[in-house]
Amino acid sequence: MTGQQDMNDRDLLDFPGAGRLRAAGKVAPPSADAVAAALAAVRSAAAGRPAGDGQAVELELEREPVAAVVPVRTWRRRLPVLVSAAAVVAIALGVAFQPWSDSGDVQRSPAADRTAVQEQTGPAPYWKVQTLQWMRSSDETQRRDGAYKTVWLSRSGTREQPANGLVQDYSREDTGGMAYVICGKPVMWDDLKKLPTDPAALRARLVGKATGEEVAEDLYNGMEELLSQSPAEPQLRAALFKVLTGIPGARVTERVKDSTGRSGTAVDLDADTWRLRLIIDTGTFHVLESVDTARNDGLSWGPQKLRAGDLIQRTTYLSVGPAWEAPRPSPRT
Amino acid sequence: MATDEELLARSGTDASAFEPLVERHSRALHGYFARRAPGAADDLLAEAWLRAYAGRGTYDAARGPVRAWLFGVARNVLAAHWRGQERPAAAAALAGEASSDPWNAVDRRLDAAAVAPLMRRTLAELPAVERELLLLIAWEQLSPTEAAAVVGVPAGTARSRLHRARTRLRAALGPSAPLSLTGDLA
Repeated sequence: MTGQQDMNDRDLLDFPGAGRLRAAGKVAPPSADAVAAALAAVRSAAAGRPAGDGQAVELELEREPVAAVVPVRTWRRRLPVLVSAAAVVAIALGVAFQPWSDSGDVQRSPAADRTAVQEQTGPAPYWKVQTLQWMRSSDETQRRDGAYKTVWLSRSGTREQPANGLVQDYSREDTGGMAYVICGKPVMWDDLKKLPTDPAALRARLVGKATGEEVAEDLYNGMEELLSQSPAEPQLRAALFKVLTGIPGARVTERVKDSTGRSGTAVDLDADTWRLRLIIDTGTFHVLESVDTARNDGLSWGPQKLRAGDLIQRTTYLSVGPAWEAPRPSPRT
Repeated sequence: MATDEELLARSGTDASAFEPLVERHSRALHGYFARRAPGAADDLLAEAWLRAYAGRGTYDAARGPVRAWLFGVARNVLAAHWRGQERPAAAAALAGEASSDPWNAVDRRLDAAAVAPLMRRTLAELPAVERELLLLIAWEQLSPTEAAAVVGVPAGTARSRLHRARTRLRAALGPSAPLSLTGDLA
């Protein structure tokens, strides 16, 4: 693992309160007596038992029971490689993608009225993403209705603004700016234009020759991040979608509705005890919705025991697109 | 200076080669125990080294570095410790996890360190594996790949779960967090 990779991995601890959490882990070093006692125990064991006679040490896996997978209809036709002309023009012009605008049979998002189409041209410094997110809480009275949030991503990092208007800045100058971590490797904001748009070359660039379970969930997560949170060009989005659907174990189902009634193509992946689903508009290759559910009965969630299919989290993408301005971070209270 | 892997390999025929490992890693392993079973850290440290020595022939470099393997041994020792403790049934039911989960002890540490109740509640709501991965990185300074080896999940799965845990923590602890909470989130 490279230093930069480590750095980006540890950026996972950049949520509010992470510093206090780290500090809470400070403990005094062991006494000299404690170390001496451990060393004496080892010496005693070495004197009494030859190597290899000891008790085997196996890591104990604490996994939830795995139930049979209900098959979803598999993908049968070639995925469209060419992106729709409308999508190319829209994104090239810097028009915000509003996933519900192309669908005649959709339920209009409650946030739609608040979102203005942006028509400025040229490379925008921000990529703005508006979501409605529902997360399971162990307290069922909490966050029942979901929460709206707007995120501005840029070269330097991200700013997040929930419905109450306060803005949290996650920019990290010390990490070299915004990085999408794909299978542990950083893809920087400016790398997006350099990524190959041939799916095989793109996959090779992102994960090398890695295959199988080791990479499946990580790659799925990375494709979700790039498709939902990055200003990737249309051709790159098409390639990302091909990489996503080519992940071992991924299942594709057409004409699936998201929670707001929009139609898209679902890409499912079973990940240990979870079932991950992305619903994607295959005209523009933008993510409409990300849904995590319990794969089996019995998954623990705090004091709750979930049943197969119970919702763990759902993020509905209400609008995405370039932005030329972002709000300033709110002062800390 | 010999690497951990070299020392462990050599210890198969030369037991004294194991001793530098004890000197190198006791502080980290003791810290792991002190955070999760503060009253028993010294005993658990000795037990972990005994088990590591006895099982040194089972180390597989393909599953991660020696450091991660040692934390895996420590994790098993800790789990056995907690399984052996009598816990009030109500507390076990409230935790909703295997009885080997050290969360109650960890939560007491967070409380003593004045970590905001909202942070503690959010951590408590994370699936046990996500929480464990997060704490191995935050407290034991392990990389996600090393933490994955300790917990026994693929590295990709660990990174994915950590990503989701971060999303949950940001959502819960971001600027929309209730202003009435006590404790410092910084």
